[in-house]
Amino acid sequence: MLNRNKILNSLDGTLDNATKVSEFWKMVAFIKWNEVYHVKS
Amino acid sequence: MCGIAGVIDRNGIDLNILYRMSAVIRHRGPDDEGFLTVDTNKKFYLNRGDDSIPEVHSHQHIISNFSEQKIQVALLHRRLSIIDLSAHGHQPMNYNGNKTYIVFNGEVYNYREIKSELAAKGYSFSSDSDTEVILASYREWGFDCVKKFMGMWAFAIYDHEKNIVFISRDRFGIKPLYYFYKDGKLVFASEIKAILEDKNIVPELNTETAYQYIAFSKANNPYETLFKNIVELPVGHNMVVNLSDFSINLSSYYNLEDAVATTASSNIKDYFAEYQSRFSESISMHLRADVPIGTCLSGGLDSSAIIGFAAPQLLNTTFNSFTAIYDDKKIDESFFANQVVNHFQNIKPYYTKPNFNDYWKDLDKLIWHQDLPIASTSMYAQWEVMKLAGKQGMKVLLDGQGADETLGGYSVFTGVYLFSLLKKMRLAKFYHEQKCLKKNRGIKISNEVMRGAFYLVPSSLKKSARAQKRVGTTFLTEEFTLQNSNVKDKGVIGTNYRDMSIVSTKYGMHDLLRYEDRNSMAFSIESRVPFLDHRLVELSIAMPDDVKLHNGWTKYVLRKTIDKKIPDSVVWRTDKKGFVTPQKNWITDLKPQLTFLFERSKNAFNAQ
Repeated sequence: MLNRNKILNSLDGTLDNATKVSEFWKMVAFIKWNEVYHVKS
Repeated sequence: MCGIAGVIDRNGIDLNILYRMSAVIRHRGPDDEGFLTVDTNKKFYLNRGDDSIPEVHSHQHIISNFSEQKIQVALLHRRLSIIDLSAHGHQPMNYNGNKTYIVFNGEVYNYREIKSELAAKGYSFSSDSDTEVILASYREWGFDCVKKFMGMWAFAIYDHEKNIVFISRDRFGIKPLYYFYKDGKLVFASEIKAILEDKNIVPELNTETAYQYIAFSKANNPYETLFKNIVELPVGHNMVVNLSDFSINLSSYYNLEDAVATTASSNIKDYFAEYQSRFSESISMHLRADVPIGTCLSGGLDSSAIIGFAAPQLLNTTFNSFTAIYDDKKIDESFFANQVVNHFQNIKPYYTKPNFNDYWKDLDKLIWHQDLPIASTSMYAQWEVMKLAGKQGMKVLLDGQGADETLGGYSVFTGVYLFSLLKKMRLAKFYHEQKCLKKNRGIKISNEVMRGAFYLVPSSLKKSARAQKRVGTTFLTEEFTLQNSNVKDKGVIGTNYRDMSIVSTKYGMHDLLRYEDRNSMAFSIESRVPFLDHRLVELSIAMPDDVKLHNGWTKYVLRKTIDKKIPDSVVWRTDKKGFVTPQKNWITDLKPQLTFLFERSKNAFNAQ
């Protein structure tokens, strides 16, 4: 569902606009939510 | 303000589940706990839990063996005592000894006025609580009682005579109510985590809403959730559960469009005077409590306006304010917050400085409380503010949610307004407003007008353009994006200032109200939102555009309302921030922790 490499690559400060930064944190929240609630896919 | 939940099941209920449901939402109401159970013979029992007040210790414990029959209806209540702190406020509560019981989360602020009306009809009351007024109102007006209420609520009433459970949610969804319904079994609760305590309900991903959350930051149907089969009771709706056949029936009792149209045609002579009157009354109503009240204070217009009207009414008491501040001057608003604090003698300010270390430390807990993913880090500032207020023992906080949606405070409204002036050929007014807007807010007018024009193009073209523009699929696999290529943003965005306010109030505010409820309740605090008094909302949206945007000032009517009541530097501020965090910097600050998270996580990467 999520592309691990794309997310890992974005940790190098390559996110150059606010929309992408927001999108990034949205992914973090989504991943965390999956873990916290043991969501089954 | 409290937490409620219930299970209705023709096949019988395992009361251990109810016990766990209550425990998992203890933060919503640590002051008291109570249960109502009804068996197959319609015999009902009041039960206690571990946190029940001593006055009800004669009741049997919820997980003791008190009935030989199957339990088919079970309601639970967690109490945060705010109005009538005595044992009279214990729930489930009944009215005057009859067989109608309620569990209630929220506040009906106009309970005193309704109580007087009912007393004139011969009703008597044994408590000073708003809960008892709801029960008497239900007895008098039936399902329509909710139309009398001003406030926020989610409640369930067991009506023994009618053999139903009547469930209702407030007009704007300030208070939450989620449910699972399948094969005659209904499980509902203030928070999803309580529903998931029934281990037969699997926390399964709804991939379509997950895609919508990622791509569009919202679901096409806001009442669906990212959990398959768990949905919200829509705002302004009632649900009736028929206990004869265990069917459910939903009905709407409130239509914002109609209410706005009625207000718009009511021939109000002076919108400024009317707004001031309704705002002032809303603040007075929201100050009704038997515990101290504090307030969030960002330094922006909305929270400052609340203080401008509330602080003078609380002159003989200390009014605590809670503010998030930052070292980064680009986002810090402490200058403005301090201006407001120093303007009144009875405000005691408290400050918190959100930082990436605490954010990371709290993130699991924060997401657990939220039930669902959060769209950005900005709501963390609100979490920290609530945490600080909780440490100070606050039980009630005021907050400015709703002003931007109802008065058009977001920048998108500016473009729509300017374009509407062009369309009506009001060129002199257009020229004047664009000049003032440029001066006040430094915005690029051509961009705003183009944006305004976009909202007026035919909806089919708009949907297509918006879908292309807003799709946030940067971090998705190509396969998952392809699988969901038919999932479109339905793009309900309105075509004029008023429609946009309606849409913004009905849908745009949806997640923000979840953040507000969960962030406050996580620390056992009731958050109150005076801008969402429905009479104020209806007036705000119904008012002509140029009362709201005038001489380059957004939310003009609000600025005029609080002019000279708080410092000019805040009333006539030209920038807008809201709850913000330096989220770009936090990516590099948290790189090691984020790397570890991305490398170890499985679910979100593997879901199809």
